[in-house]
Amino acid sequence: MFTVGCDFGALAAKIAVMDNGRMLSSAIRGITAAPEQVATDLLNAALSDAGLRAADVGCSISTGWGRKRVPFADSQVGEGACLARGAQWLLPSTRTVIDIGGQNIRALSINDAGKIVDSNSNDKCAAGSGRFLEVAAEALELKLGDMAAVAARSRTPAKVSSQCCVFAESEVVTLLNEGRELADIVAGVHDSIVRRIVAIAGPVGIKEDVLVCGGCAKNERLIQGLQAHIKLEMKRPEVDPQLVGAIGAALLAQDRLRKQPGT
Amino acid sequence: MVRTPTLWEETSALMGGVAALPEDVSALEELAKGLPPDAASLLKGFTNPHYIKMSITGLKIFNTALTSVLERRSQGGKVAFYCFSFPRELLDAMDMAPVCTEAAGIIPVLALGCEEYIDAPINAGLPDSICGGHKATVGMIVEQAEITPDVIINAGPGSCDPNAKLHEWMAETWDVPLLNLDAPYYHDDRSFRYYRREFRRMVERLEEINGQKLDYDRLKEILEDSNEQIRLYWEIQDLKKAKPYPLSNIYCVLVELMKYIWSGRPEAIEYFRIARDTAKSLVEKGEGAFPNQRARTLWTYSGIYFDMELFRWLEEIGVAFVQDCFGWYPDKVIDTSSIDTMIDGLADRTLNQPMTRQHKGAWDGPAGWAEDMMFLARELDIDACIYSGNLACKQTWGCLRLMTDKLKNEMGIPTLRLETDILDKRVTPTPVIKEQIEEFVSNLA
Amino acid sequence: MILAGCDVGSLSAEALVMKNGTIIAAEIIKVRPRPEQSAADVMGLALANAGLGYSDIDYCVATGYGRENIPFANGNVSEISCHGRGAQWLVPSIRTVIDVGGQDCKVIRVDEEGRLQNFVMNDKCAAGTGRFLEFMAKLLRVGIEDLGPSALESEAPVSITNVCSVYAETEVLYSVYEGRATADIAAGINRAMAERVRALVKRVGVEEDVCLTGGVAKNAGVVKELEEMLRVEPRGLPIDPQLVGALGACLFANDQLHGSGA
Repeated sequence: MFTVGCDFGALAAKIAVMDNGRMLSSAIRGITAAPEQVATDLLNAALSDAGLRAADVGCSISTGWGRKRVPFADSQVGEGACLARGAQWLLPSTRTVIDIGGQNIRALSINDAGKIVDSNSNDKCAAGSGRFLEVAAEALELKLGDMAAVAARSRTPAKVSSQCCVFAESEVVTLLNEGRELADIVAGVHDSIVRRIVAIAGPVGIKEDVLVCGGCAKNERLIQGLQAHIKLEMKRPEVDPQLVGAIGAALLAQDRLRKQPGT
Repeated sequence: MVRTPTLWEETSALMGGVAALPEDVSALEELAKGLPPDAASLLKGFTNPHYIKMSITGLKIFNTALTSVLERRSQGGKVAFYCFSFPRELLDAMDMAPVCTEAAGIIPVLALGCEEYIDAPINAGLPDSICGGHKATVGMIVEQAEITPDVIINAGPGSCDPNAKLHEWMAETWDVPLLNLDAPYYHDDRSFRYYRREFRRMVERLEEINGQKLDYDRLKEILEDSNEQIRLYWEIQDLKKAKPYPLSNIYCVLVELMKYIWSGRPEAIEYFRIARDTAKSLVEKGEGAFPNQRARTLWTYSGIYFDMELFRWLEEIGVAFVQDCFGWYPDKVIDTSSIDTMIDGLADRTLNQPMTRQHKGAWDGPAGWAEDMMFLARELDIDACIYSGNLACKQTWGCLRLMTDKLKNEMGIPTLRLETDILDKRVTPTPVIKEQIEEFVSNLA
Repeated sequence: MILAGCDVGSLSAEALVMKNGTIIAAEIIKVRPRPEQSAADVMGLALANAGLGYSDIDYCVATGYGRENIPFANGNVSEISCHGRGAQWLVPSIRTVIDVGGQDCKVIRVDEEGRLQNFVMNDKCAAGTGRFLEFMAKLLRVGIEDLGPSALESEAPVSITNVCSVYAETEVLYSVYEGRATADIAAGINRAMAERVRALVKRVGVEEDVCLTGGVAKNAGVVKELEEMLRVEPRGLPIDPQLVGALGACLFANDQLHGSGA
């Protein structure tokens, strides 16, 4: 039973092809053209990797910001449900999911049955999201992927406010002009993001096990910061953390197929 | 100089068209096509095919209520602005022209889409964190689109400071007498005795201002109609327990309007009768009011009034608006055997009205917000709660987290927190609200 | 009688000198690293232009950054008060000033004597500030000054529902990828900008006459949208709006010198 899950985010589109609880292939692409085109290219790439044709797919579910723009999806499901399903499959002991995307932070509290009992996200303001890292990196002329490593060199992190990402550039430049060390500034930027994530995740009630996913989960400095604040281990999935939503969507597609008579 | 026609007269002319509506969904949809977007959206909310008769009856009541007040006013009846929780039955029995302060502004804005009345009070210097329901009413008087009342009655809805201060402002600015009922913080016998005394004093004062005494025979008649309404209301509350949900989502908002603007009138009884009969027949067939139902929701405070189409949209995505706080009337039938029992009954009822009841005292005290919401959640087998928070509602925002945690921890029920204005669609527009509700509901599976 | 006002902002500093109630000199410069330097430079220029020295000034009020520490100032007043006062003096019927700057947005209500009645300011969120337009213009690869004109041909403005500039950016990007016309996207951006400003204005309300100051006042597209939303026609000011703060400071200098305070 082959199913496809497509998580079409604001900044990146992710896809997972599953077969009876096994992940066959996956792909991640930036959004650089019309959503329908990006989604179709992504599907073709993933199916090709898995050695399948479109006709082999029993059911496809899309999620994410652009979920209504995925032409091959049989239905759309909210991000929370997909994240919860994916997280629970990857780590059955998950009770809290913290998804840190490029501009969205989402926290879910799930019970033993995998049901979401509470959720919270930064649906009004991108302050302190991954975007902050991006804007700061640009302003400091660093590569986004190097930010964590630069921060690791810091001994006295600067205090950086968790203000609007768009204003972040001027704040960072001001610190530089005041003679602060680059590593300290970058560490400060990370700390500011950690505080914001904690502010969003806190209200749902953070319980073990905590699974962190989304692109920013790859940033070691953020993970360390979260562990220091929340005082619990931040577990990461064994797959690329950006794929959790897409995997969840594919699993939900599988669940749907199983419910149908004759399967 | 107040303009002519006044705003209500204008609204009444538009609503006159509503009075002529046939009980036909396609007729409603046709009419909606020719109207400006706000009025069209208003009508679309009423298009559940099972409930078309109830919806049209409700819409006609808007028209009847408005026309009746205008008529009474033109005959020289004293115009009394009353706060929504106050029993208009009393004012009808005094032959006054009663106007629900909150609804007075809401109805024209919904029908005519005139947002300038919402902005007018702020332009005039009032803070913008006042009740959305009041903004439009105050605004239309500030803009001289309507006439000031002869008396204002405030029933003291629970711990709402904006309400309290605004009533003072209205009385002072318009130089109109204000009758302020003081709602005590507790829900015990002493509190009810206190409130009954307040009520009596208020009736005396009202008689002085009205220049006419309360006609107790007329009150008895009206209260008997009101009692019939309440009996039907309770029957319907029981029918709500059925699965799938047998009522159209528009029922809840119309119930509130029946209460605020036309309580104790034969047309309101007719409304409830139609609702009861329709629901009953659906329950007997084991049918829901709309297909593919996936969530039974309790709105822990108000609904959203600026876009009635939302109620129908909720049906289309399978979400039942089973109950909201403002549509929950734990009213008892009033003993009409004597003047005393009638006045006491009215006083008790008023202290038990939504908002007053839940928010006059501690959020988790007897008959407090927590107790009522958890009761309703259990009784009506609720899957999820939605809190639609108006900027001004500090008394609920202040304890919302406590409430949502309690619902989550003790009953496993999640709450969606929406920041909206009950009347101003510019604060959080409909597409954003729909997205948030959709995401929330889709996470419930 | 010679009075002076000095206003040090985040990007520019202004000085204005009045003699017997008439403006005799005014200067605008880019800020120096420290506010005292900016103040000294701009005031020096203004005085030089008027052929005067510091000793000729009867009273000087400073406003803006570091206003308490300007050595030649006799007193200081907040920039909100100065801005409102200066605008109302220039056009006496003004009661509301909407100042949309590069990094903040303020709405100021004054009475018939220019006294501050109410105000609200946003300096924490880019929405409704010039930064929002800059951010969006960059996405569209147009100059910020082109956003107004290019929106003129729009027939179906793109709807931007998110208030946050970052989320709005995604909406704009999607529109670009979908091939929506630049005019429509520009119009959508102007409308979104006007909506954010309106949301702030709504918090203190509007009393006519209204004037718009700040860099964004030069974007015809945004101004037109705002006029429609607020149902007002803003009045223009007879001097460069950037000088309004320094002018207000000057007027307060008159008050303070004559003991009526600020």
